[in-house]
Amino acid sequence: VGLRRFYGADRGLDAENLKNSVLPSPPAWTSKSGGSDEYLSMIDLQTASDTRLVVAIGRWHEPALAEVYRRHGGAVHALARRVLGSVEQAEDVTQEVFVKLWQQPERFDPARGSLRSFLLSVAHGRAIDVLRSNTARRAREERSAADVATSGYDIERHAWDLHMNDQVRKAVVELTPEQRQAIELAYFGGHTYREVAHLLGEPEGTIKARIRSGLTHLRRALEREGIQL
Amino acid sequence: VSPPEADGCDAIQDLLGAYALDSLDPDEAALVEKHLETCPRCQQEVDQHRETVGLLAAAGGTAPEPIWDRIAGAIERPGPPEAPPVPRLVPAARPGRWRRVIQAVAVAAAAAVIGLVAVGTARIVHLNHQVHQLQTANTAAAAAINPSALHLTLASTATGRQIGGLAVLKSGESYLVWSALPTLVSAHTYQLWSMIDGRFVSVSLLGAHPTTVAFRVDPAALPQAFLITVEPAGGVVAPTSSPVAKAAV
Repeated sequence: VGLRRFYGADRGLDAENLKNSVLPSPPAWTSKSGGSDEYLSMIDLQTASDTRLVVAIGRWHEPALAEVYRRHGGAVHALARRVLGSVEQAEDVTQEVFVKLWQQPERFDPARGSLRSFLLSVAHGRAIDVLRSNTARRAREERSAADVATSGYDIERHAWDLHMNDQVRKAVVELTPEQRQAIELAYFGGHTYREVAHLLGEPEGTIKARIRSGLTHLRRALEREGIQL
Repeated sequence: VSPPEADGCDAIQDLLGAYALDSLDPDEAALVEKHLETCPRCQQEVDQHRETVGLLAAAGGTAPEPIWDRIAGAIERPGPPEAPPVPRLVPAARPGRWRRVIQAVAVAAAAAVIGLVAVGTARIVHLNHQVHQLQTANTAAAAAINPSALHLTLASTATGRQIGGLAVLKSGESYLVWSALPTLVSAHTYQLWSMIDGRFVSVSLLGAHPTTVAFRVDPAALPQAFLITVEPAGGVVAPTSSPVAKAAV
C-alpha cells in the first residue's frame, strides 16, 4: 500500500497523489503556468532522495536513472567484481541491475531498506547466479582453495577492510574471526553455507547458525556505532 | 496448538542469515521464500541482514562511465505503436509511454539531421545524450536564476498565456529553461527560430516534448524574437507552419 503513492501515472499508478505528496512545489518563476514536473525534478536531481529518484524512474525519467547510477554504480560494480573475480562479468551484472531498476522500479520498497542495499542485493543475487552457472564453475573451484588459504588467517589484509568507513570497521572487529570468515566466504566468496562448512571442515548447522549470529552481532555493533539500520 | 507462523519460523529462522547472503541451495531458498511471503517478521530480519551486509560492500568508488553508456544503450524504450495518420496534439498532462517513444524518435531524428539543417548565425548545441541532458538541465536551472541573464517569456500565440521560459546568458549560451508545450504525437518536432530583420533563422530542434534545451546565439546580434513552430521530425530549413509560441526579446 505504501508503495503505490510513490509511483506515477506512467506506470499505471496515481499521478495526482504523486504530484501532491512527492514532487516539490514549483519555484516562483514558473508560478503562472505550473510548468513541467519533469523539469522540476531535474533541477533537484542531485539533491533528491534516492526514493524520489526511483519515483522519477517510475515516470520514465532517464536522468534520474543516471543519477542513481552515479550514486551507487561504483558500489554495485565493486561488489560484483569482488564476487565474480571478473571485470567483464561484473560489468554485465552491473548493467543488468540498473536496467532491471529501470524496468521494475516498483520492486524497490523504501519501507524495507535503502536503495543501495536493494541494488547491492540484486547485484549479489545475480552475481551468484552467474557464479553458479556451469561456465563459471571451474574458475570457482580453483578459487575455493585460495579462499580458504587466505580467509580467517589474514583478515586484516582483506580488501573488504580497505573500503569501509571507520564506523563499519569498528563494528566489524567486534565479530569473532570465525563469524567473519563464514560471512566472507559466503558473501564475497559466493559459497553456499554447505560449501563453507565443507571448506572449513565444520558441521553445516554450525556454519548456518554462525552466519546468522554474525550478521545479528554486526548489526548491533553498527547500531552502537551510530549507524541506524 | 501453536499458530502456523510459529511453526514455520522455527524451521526457517536458522536459514535467514544464509538466505540473505544468497548462500542457500535452491531448494532451501525456495522454502524460505515461500515462508517470507506470509511472515513479515522473518522478512524484516532478512531485510536487516541485507542492509547490514550491504554496508560491508558499500564503498566502491566512482561509478564507471563506460557501463553507464551500456545501460543507456540497453534500457527499454517501449516500441512505438502504429503511428496515427495525422499528427495531433495530446495534453502534456497525460504523460505516458507515448511520450518517451515520441521523444526518442524525435531525438534520434534530430540527431540524424543536425548536420543538414541550415542554421544561419545560430549554432545547434542540441545535446541528445541523456547524461548531457541532465547537465543541460542543471546549467539551465542555473541560467534561469542568473540575474545577469536575459529572461524571456515564451507565450502561446493562440492564447497569449505563458507556456515556457528562455534564458540568454551574456556569453550567448541560451536555454529553454522550461516549457509546457503539448507533447507532439507522430513524427513531428518543435523547432526554435530566431527572428532577425524579419527573417526566420533556425536555432534548434526541440523534440516532441521539450523540457530543457541548450542552444547558442550571437550575443552581439540578438534577434528581435524567438519563435517556435511544429515541423516534421528532422526539422526544416524554413518554417512550414505558423508559430505556436513566441518570446519577444
